Amino acid sequence: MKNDKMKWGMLAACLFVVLLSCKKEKEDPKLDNGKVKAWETLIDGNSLANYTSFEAQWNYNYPWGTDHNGSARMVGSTSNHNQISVNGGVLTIKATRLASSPGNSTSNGFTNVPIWYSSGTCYAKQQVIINDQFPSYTISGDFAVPTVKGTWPAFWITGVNSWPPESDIMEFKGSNTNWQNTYDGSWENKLTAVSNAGAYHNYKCWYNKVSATDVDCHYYIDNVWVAQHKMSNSVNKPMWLIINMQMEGDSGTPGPSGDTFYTGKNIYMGRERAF
Amino acid sequence: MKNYLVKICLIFCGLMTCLLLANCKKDDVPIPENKANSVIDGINLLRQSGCNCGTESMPPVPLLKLNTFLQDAAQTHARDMAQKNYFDHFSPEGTSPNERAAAAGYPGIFISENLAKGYNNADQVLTAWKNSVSHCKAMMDAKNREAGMGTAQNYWVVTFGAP
Repeated sequence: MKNDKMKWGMLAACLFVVLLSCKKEKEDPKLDNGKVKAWETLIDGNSLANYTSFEAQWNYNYPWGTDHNGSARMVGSTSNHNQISVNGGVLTIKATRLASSPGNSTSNGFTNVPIWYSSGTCYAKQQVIINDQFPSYTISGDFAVPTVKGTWPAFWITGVNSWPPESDIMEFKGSNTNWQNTYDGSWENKLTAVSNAGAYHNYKCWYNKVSATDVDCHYYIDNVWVAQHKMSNSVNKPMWLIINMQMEGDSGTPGPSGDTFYTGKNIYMGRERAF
Repeated sequence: MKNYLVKICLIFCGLMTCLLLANCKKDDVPIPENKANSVIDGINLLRQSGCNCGTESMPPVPLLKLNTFLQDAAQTHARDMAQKNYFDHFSPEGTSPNERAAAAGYPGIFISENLAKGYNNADQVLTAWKNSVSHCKAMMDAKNREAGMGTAQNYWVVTFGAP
């Protein structure tokens, strides 16, 4: 008899536990420090679909003009696509050797560099600004690059109002070594040999605000993490995104005598919008 | 006879326990259609009527269509956050929202992603997103034409795109 009572008691306890468990599912939900995050796309591969899309999101040449730190002068406009063109989602930049030099670079600090090439550059109308409202960005693209001496393709961001900051997501200087660099007053460099760089590879950086002044830069090649740099004092400093092909300079001389091509596609810029 | 009843009850209890345990393994169960729809439907109600995002009045916009590729991307991310205990658009391996949409096979253009954590039902998530200007504007963005929703534990993801 005692055993029977014990068995019934155990059964009742078991059923009680089952009922309690069921009740949990129906309890009013309680908030557990609810959080939200939003991500938005600013530039996608569609910006290279045709000239209407391209010119809506990109400007020709550098933000400061046609010349910089190498022997190429950038040529490009709504009516001249000899050196920079888009077609079906692909951006093509062509560098052409000139028969004679039209003079030296007009860029500050490089006025001793003679111009020997016509090439192409564009920069995004959308600036990058990392701050409390936009604490995280990712910028990426697929690029097929030249690696011969004297060719200097790059995909990078640099300060609008000051230099530093600078972050080079992709930069080849006359070899198959990709330089991913961060400059905040001193340089951090990550050099990676890329096999078959003339075929498309993906280059990416994830920027993440980590303090009131500093940003961490996580660099990737083909979605493999390769380096983390610190870009100090770069919060709230607007930056340009630039795609360009300079020639000679840091990539060596003499550059090629024939045409050199640099192509890109699936260019993406997205960011977290905190409020 | 009593022993017989006791045995029946024990079997019944065992079955109930099995059912409960099966229900506990929520992460491996596909999202019920109604749960996914409840979030997308809630967003569509806002899109149908228009709403205020902060102080800005947002006009009515076309309704979102449920897209299975975007749903795969959203579910993958919700599950990943729950399993690895983080809350971010970027995964610890460095995968971004646009890459997840592409990896899921989405042929359209990824546009945006809304995340929530710590809410237990769709109404709470929608209220939190509506109260945040950035999330509210994403829900009301006319460029967004289709979406997918994923959830795991109390993580919620909606991925927006356009064909």
